[in-house]
Amino acid sequence: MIFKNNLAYTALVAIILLLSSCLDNPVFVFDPIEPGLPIYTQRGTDVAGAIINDSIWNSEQEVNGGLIWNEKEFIPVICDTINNRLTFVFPGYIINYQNDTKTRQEIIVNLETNRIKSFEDLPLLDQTKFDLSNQFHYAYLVNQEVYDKYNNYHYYFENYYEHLLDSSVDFKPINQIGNFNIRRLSGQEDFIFAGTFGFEYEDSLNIKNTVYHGRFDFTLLKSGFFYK
Amino acid sequence: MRRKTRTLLMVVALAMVFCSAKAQLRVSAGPTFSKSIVNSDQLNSEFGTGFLLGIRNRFRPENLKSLSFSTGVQLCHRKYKIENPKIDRESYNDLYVTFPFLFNFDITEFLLVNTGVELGYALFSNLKEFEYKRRTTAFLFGFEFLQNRDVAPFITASYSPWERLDYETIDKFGNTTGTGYEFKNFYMVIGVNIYINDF
Repeated sequence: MIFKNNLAYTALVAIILLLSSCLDNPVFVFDPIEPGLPIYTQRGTDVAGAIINDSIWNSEQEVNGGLIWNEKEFIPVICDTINNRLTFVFPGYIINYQNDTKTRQEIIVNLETNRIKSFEDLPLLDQTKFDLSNQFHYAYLVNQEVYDKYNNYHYYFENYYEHLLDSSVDFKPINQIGNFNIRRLSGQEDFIFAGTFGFEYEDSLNIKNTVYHGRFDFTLLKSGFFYK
Repeated sequence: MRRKTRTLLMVVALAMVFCSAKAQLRVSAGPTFSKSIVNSDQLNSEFGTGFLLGIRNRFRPENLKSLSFSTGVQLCHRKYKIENPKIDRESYNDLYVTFPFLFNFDITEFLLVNTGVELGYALFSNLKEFEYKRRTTAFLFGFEFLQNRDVAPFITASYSPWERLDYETIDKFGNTTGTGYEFKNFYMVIGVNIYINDF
């Protein structure tokens, strides 16, 4: 009888743990103006969205009612303490709703700041607006070159990541204008990292790229903070 | 303060339903026809059918022959559609517990018109995220026919002018432009009141 009670108790605890683990899944509240994008929140919903070159980009493949085992997106933060640069990588997908396909697409935001030397310093950027028309800050889409070389990076993330850190592939956008607004960066051990952005630039082939109506709300983990 | 007022009104409603000896008690039931009213031209909203089940009472002050006052508690299931190719879900369900407060006016012996407010709380909703408000306040307007019979048909419309979702709107460069409001509750119920006792 005791064994049965223990078994029931264990099952109950397991169910509670399983359900509580679901709480970590991304929370996508669709924007009524553009339902492919999440509304702007700042509570660690782990979603992002933007309109990239007139296509919907978001961090979540299932919108409103998605599968409970959607993986949490990993937001790498790369700190270059020598050159005073901080890089955020936003993973996501360009969604094609006509044929129900998606294409991987990262947004890279590379900022100049001498305030961040460690993960614990990140809240110093709370409520900070970065003007991307300034020559010291830039944001861009990961170009095809990186994909072609590391098209299996999703399974071998370290290789891709090392490549991204390699300054030889760093791309500097041309004629860039826009903003990257960190609206909230605070917390205890993990930080809530939320903000809005929008920018446009020309790439090396003088092709104009637009990233508009951007919004993100993630939890930053110390395990995602790297030094260059 | 507002929350305390709402709680107080709900307690009063329940007390009046279950504690009053001189009330006309009745069970209300019927299908609901609900819609979520949207502003966005990106969203298409359509009616769906749910159900309402509740218990109401009615007081008639002795010096007011044509006026009476109703309260009650009811379960209100509302089903509706919000459609856009970019949203996986089309059909939405809400289950509210609501507390109506109605003023009734007898137009004839067999026809009654009523109006009032309804306080509600979503026990369940497919719009379940934290950003959607679970509390609702709505205005009611309706008619009741054959009010002095044991079984009396009624029709009531409920409209909440307050949206369930407030969200920040941003321009293409990420600057805040204001607040957007979306999803107002509307439903009609066509049902019957089954009287348990009379005045």
